[in-house]
Amino acid sequence: MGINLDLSEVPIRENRLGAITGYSGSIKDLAGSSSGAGGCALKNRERTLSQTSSCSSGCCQGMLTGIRGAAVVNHAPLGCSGDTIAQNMANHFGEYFRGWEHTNIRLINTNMDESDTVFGGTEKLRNGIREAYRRFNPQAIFITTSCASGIIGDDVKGVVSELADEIPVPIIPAHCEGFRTNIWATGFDAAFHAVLTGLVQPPRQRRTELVNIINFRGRAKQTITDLFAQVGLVPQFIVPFASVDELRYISEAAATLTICGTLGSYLGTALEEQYGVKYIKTLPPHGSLGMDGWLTGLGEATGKQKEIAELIAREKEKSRTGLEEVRSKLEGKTAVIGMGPSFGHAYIGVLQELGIKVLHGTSWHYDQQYDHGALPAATQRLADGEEDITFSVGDQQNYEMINHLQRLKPDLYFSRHPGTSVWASKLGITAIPVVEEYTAFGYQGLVNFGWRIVDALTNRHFVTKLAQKVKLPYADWWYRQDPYTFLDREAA
Amino acid sequence: MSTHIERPRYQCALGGALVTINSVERAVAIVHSAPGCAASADGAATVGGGYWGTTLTDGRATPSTNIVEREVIFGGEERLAEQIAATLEVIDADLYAVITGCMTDIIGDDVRAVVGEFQRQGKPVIVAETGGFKGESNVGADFIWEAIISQYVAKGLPKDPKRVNLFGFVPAQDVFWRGNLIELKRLLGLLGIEANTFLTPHDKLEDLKDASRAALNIVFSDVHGIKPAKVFQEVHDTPWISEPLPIGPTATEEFLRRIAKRFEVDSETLEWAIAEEKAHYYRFINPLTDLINDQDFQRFGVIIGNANYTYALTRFIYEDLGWIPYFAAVTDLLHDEQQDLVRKRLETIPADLRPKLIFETDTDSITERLNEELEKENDPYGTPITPAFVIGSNLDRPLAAGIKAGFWGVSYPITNRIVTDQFYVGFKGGLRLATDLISALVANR
Repeated sequence: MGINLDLSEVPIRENRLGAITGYSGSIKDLAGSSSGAGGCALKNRERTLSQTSSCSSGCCQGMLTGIRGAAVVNHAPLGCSGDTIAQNMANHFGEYFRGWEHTNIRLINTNMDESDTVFGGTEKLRNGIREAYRRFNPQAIFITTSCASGIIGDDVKGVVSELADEIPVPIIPAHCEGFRTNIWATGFDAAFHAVLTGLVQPPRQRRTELVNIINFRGRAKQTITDLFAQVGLVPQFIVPFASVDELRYISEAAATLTICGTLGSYLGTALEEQYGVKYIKTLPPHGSLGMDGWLTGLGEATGKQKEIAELIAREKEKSRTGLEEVRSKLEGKTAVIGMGPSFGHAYIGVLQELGIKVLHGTSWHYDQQYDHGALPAATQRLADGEEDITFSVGDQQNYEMINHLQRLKPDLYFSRHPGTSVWASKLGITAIPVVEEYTAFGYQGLVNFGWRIVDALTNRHFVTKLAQKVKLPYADWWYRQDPYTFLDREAA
Repeated sequence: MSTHIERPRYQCALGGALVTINSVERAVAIVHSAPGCAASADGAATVGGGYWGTTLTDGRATPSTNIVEREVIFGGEERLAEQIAATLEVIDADLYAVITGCMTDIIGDDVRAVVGEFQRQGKPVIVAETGGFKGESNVGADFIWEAIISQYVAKGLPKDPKRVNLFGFVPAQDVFWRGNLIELKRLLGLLGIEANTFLTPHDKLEDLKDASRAALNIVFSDVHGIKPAKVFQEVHDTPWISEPLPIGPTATEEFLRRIAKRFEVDSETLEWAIAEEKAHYYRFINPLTDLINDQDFQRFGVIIGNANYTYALTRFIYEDLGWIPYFAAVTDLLHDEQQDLVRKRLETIPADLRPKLIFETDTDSITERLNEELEKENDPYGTPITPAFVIGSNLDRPLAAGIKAGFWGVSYPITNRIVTDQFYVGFKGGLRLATDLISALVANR
């Protein structure tokens, strides 16, 4: 165990965390067989039919392009920067609710072409870095790699050391070649490995009030700031929208929280192991029980058990009757859920708190253990629960999910990643995408989320009418097959 | 040597091929590439294309071999064969198009041999090598069209003298491709000419299969779709012409007259069609003159867009709207001959109304080049193009803000509004464009 920051590349999740993308069974079996629970470790099962999933470079660049004062050089054919359209929008959104000026993200793509795949692309990388420095005047430059630069073996490290004297800011490679891993979350680790190895400095002091919060866009910034102020703590939202300078000293914080265990595992664990910043490994803050776990963990890490216990009691009381009311409206509704592992496992708990019966769950991948060696807390909670539910792991394999939905006909489908919920709508099932990371955030967030579901169920005309007019791409034959027909029985 | 690019305004070759297939009815792509390629390309096109969204077998439903390190070492042909066989079972489609990514093209999988096996069994599978490093979306669209034309379109059909195919449109690269094609089809229909458009939600796959019946291919571009048109001529003996995208009454009238002449449309039909369409335009523009005059809504134009739009928009604003084009940036990656074609087209505009033309894809470099131009102006007030208006993409909003110009997005990416069936071609499209541009000037009232 242990994170090794001397490595030039972060080991992929398949190797580091026993992460898998193919499984069918039940949540208790999944948890019990996991390496993190002392099980004999699950073997991944592969598919003979697959649909597109996602690329680790998107996750990596999403984090790095958000850093204020940094620039990114994407050493890749131009298509690998195509999704900067979405990253730019996420950037605008974050700037908008912070009241910041509207800017475009600062990224240059080296535009590798056919001759570069033959003769090598390091010259373009060199020029790209120089141009990024000239054009953006950044305080740090990150390099993101690609399948093309990886396969032809461009010496990124060599270029970086060559330019070290010429360019007076850190130049930091982040290795996120899409073909290295089936698990796009490895891209988060690659970004964080770059931040840890290239920016983060040993602490000059310990700031006992400061708490890192690893998240995406930080929509709940003000809410959390106000909440923490009640117990004398100050949150610092990382990595997107944090500045280069702020990131240098995240090592000084007292503790690190994360909105998502999948996201935070590597960075949180590394900060704990390297710099003694306590990483809070309890439940993520989705729903009331999640928030209990999150804040209790924070209390223990910061020595503020008493203040935080009181805070929990106060906050919980405020939303108690609201929760009872909305729960009474949702009791007995049925749902299927498909999300990343941390959100997915945690949101099964959220739905159960709202009285919704989960018929089946899927997570886009599954980490058998986190970087700190244990089973994810959200998975452990489900394993400890009374009810066992059928569960599968699939990297957004739409054909499997549609097969489940068609058979189970739930009232609701919950998903998280953009582009995954729409298919349920086309089947006439009310879909609730949890795109905003702070959707069912804590006590009042849970109530608000409940009302959002009630609203969606109150008028289902849009989807019921859509479903009458829209056909899904699958052959009728497929709906009569077992959803795991193409999931190999044999372990790889 | 090609150079680096800031925040590209396109996807890669794979992406251009993918979104083209995604726009064809009952066609499905089988992407032979790394796990995220299809999702990334499709996501960029469907979001940047005015929130186009998913239609049938696209987005997260796109079949993809998701090959990883193992296939890089041992080859991915077996995995592809397995994937094609399974896709044929599960996905209900009539055309399956295997397209490849960087990895598979670099490691040299013999995808033609794999697909050939299915073709021999009579399966409707075609293949194009579209590795992302080969170019941008427009290049990839050309690749897939060449594959469709040579591997799918029926050979030896008799020609129908009043039937044409429309080419030169790359979905999402022309954010308005659906509306534009539907309107062009309507306009040609007024002349008694039946147009196949292939890429709109109304089109049928059988029209693609029978596309060789057309007497003429019209490519609405000087540069995109030309190669496939040449392949079409070789394989199916159908000639082609290149036409600029007709936006507004003047350009569209000329377009219709050229087509009518070629197809020997009787003059009564032609004059009637032009008169009707033009009357519609002016019956609505006429009362708008109050606002345009009273508020002094003449503007200096800065046009930023792809090769097809830059000329068409420039022409509309000078010829119909009476604005003064100042600066035009073509953002496609074009080789020298293609640049010459685009330049020549722009040179048909009278010198005093011809904008300074640059070929530049970087958003920030376009700003730099524009500022260089402005500094050259001998203007005592330092505001040589005030008031200005920028017609560009969402990425160009900071540029517009920098010169305090009005702004309207017409080019990819458009992420601040929804595009469904709107169009800018033809007489009605010109009216729509005038309406949108002037609306932008009154939007904050």
